[in-house]
Amino acid sequence: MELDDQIALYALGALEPAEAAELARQAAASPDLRRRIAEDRAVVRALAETPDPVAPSPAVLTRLMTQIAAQETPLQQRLETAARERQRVRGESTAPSFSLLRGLLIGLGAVGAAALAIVSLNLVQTQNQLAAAREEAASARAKLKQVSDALADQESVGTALNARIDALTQSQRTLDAQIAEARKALETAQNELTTARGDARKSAQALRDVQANLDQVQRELAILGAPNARRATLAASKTQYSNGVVAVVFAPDQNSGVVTVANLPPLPADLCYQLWLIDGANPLPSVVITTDANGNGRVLVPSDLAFGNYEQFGVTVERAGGSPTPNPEGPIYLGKAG
Amino acid sequence: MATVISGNNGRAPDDDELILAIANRDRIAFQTLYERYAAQALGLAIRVMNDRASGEDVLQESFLKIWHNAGRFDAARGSVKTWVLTVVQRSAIDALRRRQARPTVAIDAPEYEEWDLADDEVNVHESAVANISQARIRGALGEMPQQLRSVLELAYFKGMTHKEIAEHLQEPLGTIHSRARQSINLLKKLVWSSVVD
Repeated sequence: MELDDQIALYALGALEPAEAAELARQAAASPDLRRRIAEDRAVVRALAETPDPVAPSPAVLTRLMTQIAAQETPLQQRLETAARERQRVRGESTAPSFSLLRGLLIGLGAVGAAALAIVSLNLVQTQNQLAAAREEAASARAKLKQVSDALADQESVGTALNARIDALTQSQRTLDAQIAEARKALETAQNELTTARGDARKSAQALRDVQANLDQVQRELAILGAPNARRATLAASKTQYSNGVVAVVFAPDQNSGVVTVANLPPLPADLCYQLWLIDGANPLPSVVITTDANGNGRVLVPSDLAFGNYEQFGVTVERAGGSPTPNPEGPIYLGKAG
Repeated sequence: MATVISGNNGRAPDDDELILAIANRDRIAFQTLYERYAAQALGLAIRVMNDRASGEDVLQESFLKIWHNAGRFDAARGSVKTWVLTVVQRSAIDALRRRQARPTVAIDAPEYEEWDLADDEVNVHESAVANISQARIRGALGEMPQQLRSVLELAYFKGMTHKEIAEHLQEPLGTIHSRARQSINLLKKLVWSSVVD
């Protein structure tokens, strides 16, 4: 391959890697070859401008800047690097002192003038580097301030958030207290409801009791007011009961009667007065007669048998609750229907 | 934040100022440079990759390299614009080679090292090319015989070596070498005639 062709292909980037490396080695030793390559390369590079421009989508720049931000060296590390660079540049600029330079110049005479020019050039370069380092440090400080400002903004946001959290916490506490209060009120209401239901049950029971009493009174009135009602007044058969009064009123067609007592002597709790319907010599157990503290009472006497069959009535003292057979001691009150 | 933009009293910074600022991690300067050359760079990347999505990927990758390597830019070796487009062209060729499972050639591989050419040597050629309008270069390329233009385009826009071009065009290697030389000479003729004009 001729050298001209190699140069052209090299400028186009069309040589194989080994061939390109070989030509590069030759060019390193040949200014003429380097010049010819530079000529060809300059025109080849102009080809880059031949395609029509195409506007990129905005997303490319966004992705690019995001990528750059992600790859940026941490600020602190950059500050340290800048500080080291500044220190290094300062060291270089102060190492060759002016007195030393002056001594060298005196000793070197005419050659020293040239050396002075070189040293001066170096000094200018060093000063430029120092200025660049100062700019870098200033830039780093500016960025540090940016970061500080951003941090302050974040702290401000954090304070606002904390205040919001405190407010929410306080609201939560208030809400909890209201809930507790509401629960307590609910519990009280439930208790009141329970009490009210109990009261209602009691009232209903009382109503039922009253109704029952009313029914009994009406039945008693019906008996006592019946046109054919008959009455039996019982006389005490024992002295200790002589103050007591026992009367039985019954309506033969209604098969029921009313026994009314007054001033009966009080009995121990395990004893009671019991009414007996007597047909000849056969006593039929009837109701237990309850009395108040004064020995007074009135009891409705139902009967499956017609009262008309029983002309005589008796009262005995029996065990509490009554007995199917009469007390052997006999009746304490006894009487016939009139 | 002080940037090269805000420090110029309203004057638009030139490319050299921008690249210096970018080397000092000035993101605003970087965005300014991007906005200045992104469209041209994307046109080039799409010309190589043949699709917009891949072209935008190359654009992103290239400007990331520019951000990281701005400190290595040497104005004595060429203009910022040339450097930017060179980075894009080489990134695109690498991406194309990766996509085609062909060996890639790193940008800073030894064979692509710039030598220490005397500043005036480089600048003479670069300046001459820079003075030619884009339309004129495009026109010259359009007027170039197809068989010469193909070699230029396959090498520059498709990253093919001379052996790959020969295989692709089914032409002898010597023919490809000759056409490469002729095509560059035609371009150079345009450059120098432009300088003379």
